[in-house]
Amino acid sequence: MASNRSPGMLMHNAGIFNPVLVQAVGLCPVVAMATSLRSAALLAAVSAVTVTLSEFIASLFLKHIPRWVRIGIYIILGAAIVLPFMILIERINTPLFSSLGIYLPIMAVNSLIVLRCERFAVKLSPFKALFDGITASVGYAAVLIVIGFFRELLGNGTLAEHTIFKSPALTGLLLPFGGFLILGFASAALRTMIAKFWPKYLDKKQPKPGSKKKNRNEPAKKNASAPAVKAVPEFIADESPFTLEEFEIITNDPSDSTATDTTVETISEAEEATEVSAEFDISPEETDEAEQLTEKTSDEKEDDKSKSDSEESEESDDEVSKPVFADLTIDDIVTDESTKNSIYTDADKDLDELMNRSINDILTKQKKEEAEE
Amino acid sequence: MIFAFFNASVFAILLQNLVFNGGFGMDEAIRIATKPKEFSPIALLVAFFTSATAAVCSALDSIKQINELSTAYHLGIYCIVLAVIYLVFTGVVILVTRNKKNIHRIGMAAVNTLVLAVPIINRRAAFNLAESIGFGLGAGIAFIIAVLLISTAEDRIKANETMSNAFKGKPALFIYIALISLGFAGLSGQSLFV
Repeated sequence: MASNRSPGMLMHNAGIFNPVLVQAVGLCPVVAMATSLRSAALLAAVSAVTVTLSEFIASLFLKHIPRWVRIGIYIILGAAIVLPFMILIERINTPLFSSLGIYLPIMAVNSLIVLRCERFAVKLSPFKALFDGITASVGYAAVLIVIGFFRELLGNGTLAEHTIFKSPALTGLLLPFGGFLILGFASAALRTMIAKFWPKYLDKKQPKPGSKKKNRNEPAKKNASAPAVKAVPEFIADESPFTLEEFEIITNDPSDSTATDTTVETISEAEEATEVSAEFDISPEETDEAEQLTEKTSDEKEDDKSKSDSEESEESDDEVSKPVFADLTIDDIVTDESTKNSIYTDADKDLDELMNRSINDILTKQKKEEAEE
Repeated sequence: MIFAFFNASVFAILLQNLVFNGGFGMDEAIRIATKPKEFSPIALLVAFFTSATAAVCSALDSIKQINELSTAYHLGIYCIVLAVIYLVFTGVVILVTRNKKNIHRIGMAAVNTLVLAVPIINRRAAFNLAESIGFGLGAGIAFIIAVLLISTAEDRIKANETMSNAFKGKPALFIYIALISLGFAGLSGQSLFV
């Protein structure tokens, strides 16, 4: 039962692209310290404040600072936010502070902060960055609390320090091993949910703000001199009674919106096929060479280039890296008019041959049926 | 002194593997494991940052006034040390190579829970300078081992077509890491199901 509605920002950041279960970010406190509901709730609160405040401050003040300097600032910023918490918790509840051990201080360099700030906060307005921080924190906190709940219940037989059962508890679940194990099952559960309700987001990378995403429903830009690439329509393959001439009349008729849609779809499919072939045709070495070529620009652009390079490499954290040419269309790759025309001419010839063959097959079959009758 | 150095290193690599037994730096290990090209430089950078931060923080802790401060203030000092080491190192790299292309790798290696955890553990365990550096280096090596193990699993998980769709990708990886973590927990002599 896939939902046609696009998910809201909260569901997007906290569920579909959950920082822990989907992106595997900020794992350390989750697997090591979320062993009880209370400690999980405390870590959730600290991380929520840290991430949200960091994103807000990064968006407000750090946009124009070079990236490599910004990363250093995030370390100090994280410490500046966590430090007051530490002093406060130590004064209010010393045993709890001791039980958290070194996991509370290291929240200062939680990779969730740097990733959210670098990927989103510095590209968004302060208000949007604040909202992004809140939604991401909700997802992070939810995982912390769920993991803490199950580990305390199964590992200690208690819940919020109240005894639930006295049978032998699985104390191994209190070790990081247990954290990873529950995380694996929780991640599988979320994956199943995404596959059921939002299948188009399964195994997709979280888009960054400002990233250009190609709309496949839009017809591709075509060179005026180049004729449209035709593809064999489904109704020919389905043994439709249309002849080739009828088919051409239908597809060339501008008033027929259905036919236009079909043509646009086939063009998009052809482009998609080109992208796929580009993915397979370009070897990793060629991709590297292409990347190096793009780096050979002026010194002024070098900084921006390095930014985009690093962003690309960060973007491919979870998935296989995307080749450079994957977003190019036929028109971008083939610039020479004569080559382009020859490609299209060859494509037309092949298409005509294919359609004639299909039509001949249909006619032969019809004749056979008539003869049998 | 050399014995103390190696003792602390082996402790960090095997008995108390910070990545699998503590979960420190696990996100970076998973991220780097998916990029074979970036594996060696980042792993070495992590080893450098853990050792350097451990050494400087240990040297600072030997100052009486700093040693007497509470844990919260130590966090502040350690973070400043880490930020300074990162900025100085990155600045030098930019000056020498005049290329900012791979600078993000340094950031990824420096802003890491493993790097900050090492000086905090050193302080709690009251390690001396040699032990601190040994522990830092051991933590770096533990990180390299973790990346190697995860990288192998990542390839096999991707190649496995019979796996249930629900467990493909991260879920299977988390469960694999859980089993490796269980193995390292056994090395540390912890009893699991009592």
